[in-house]
Amino acid sequence: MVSASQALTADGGTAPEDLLLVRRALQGDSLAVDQVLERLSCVVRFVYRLNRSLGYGLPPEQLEDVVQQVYLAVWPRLPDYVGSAALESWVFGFCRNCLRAAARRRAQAAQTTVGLGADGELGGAVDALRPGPETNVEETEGLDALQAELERLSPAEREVVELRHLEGWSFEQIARQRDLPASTVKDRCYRALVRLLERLERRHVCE
Amino acid sequence: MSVSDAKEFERLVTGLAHGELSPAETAQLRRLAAADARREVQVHQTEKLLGLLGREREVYQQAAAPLDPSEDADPVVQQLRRRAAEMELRLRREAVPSGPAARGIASPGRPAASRWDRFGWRASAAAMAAALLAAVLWWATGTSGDDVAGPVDPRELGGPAVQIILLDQVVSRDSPEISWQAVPGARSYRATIVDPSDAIVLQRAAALARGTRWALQEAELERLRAAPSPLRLRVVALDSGELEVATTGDRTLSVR
Repeated sequence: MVSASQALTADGGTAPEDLLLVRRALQGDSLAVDQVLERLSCVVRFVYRLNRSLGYGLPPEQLEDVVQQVYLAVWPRLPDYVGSAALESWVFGFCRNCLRAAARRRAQAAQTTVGLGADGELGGAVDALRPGPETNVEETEGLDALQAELERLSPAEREVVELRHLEGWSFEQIARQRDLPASTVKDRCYRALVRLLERLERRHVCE
Repeated sequence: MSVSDAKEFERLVTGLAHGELSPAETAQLRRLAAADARREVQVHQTEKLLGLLGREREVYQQAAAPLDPSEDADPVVQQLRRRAAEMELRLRREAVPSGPAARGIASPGRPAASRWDRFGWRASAAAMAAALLAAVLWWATGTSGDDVAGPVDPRELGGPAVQIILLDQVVSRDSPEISWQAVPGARSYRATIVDPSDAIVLQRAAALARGTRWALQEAELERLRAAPSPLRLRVVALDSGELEVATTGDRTLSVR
């Protein structure tokens, strides 16, 4: 069975290789720039698939804007990429955020339209608020909250939670990669989960 | 709950969070939690968080899997790919300046300008003239041959527009590369492979900006094999203003 980390790095290399690639690109190696841009083509399928699986229901023209926003958001943040996960995994977070923001803007715009009571626009506004057929609104809200709270964790805590729980690494693998004792990794992961729980509880998720 | 039970509960709930509990330990955790409403909530919340992380992982894996042929052909995907290709070109232009006067992060070990720029317009004009002469010679001799494009096949030069000469129109596992001859004045190339309904199967823009070859990944070859045939390949050369300066036109691409 293909592990999550393998699946997510199928586009390119491993996280350490990706970090070297990004560093080369930032140093002006045009071949590396090309390779990084090529790897960013994953944005299309992330945005397309997430729009369906999370039931945002954004129309194609808004999805195009999201794709553009992701590129524009990722590029200046490349110096922040620390290679804790494959480049695609890192980009995935940007896709989630940009989609979530676009969905929120769309819902707000639709609510405003409903508020105005413009008959001609009411149908479209209501459609915009209506979740897609596969949508579990509560679940999507929970996942969105989880993403937001993952981002609020310290980089070290976030890394260990993502590697363990999203990419399916063992604690031993993480410990080897980060050159830390497995017990330290476990403690860090547990502390991060407790923090996540507290914060999600305040958002009325995980109650 | 006794002190020892409290310690055991903490150990077990930590194990739950790490996903390391055996069935017997899980049962023990539930027994201990049942004795204390606060701890019961703690277990419930931990399980809910783990469920959320598990669902997030599923979403993540689904999104990361390669697109299947029906998704590939979806006009929305095509639309998104076009926008992505535009962004690639734009970001690449910003990251790697194309002219000697431009400032940016160009590699100090590489010339910022292309070979053609360094030779200047005279070299470009000479190359154009040579290409035209080759075309005239071919028409004059009326040579005929098989239908495989070669490195200097002058038939590719026919027609009023400058044409790009394809060096490979067949790709296979052993030879997964498409290449073409450089065009004077071109700053970048965009290669697109479309199926019979004109849906984009694969496209490369920025990755080809400086090169005249496209090495296909195994997954890309698989996608080509899965796509309806005949596939058509089109390579377009763009100048620094992203205006089209030459094209291969639509060429049949064989995938083996």
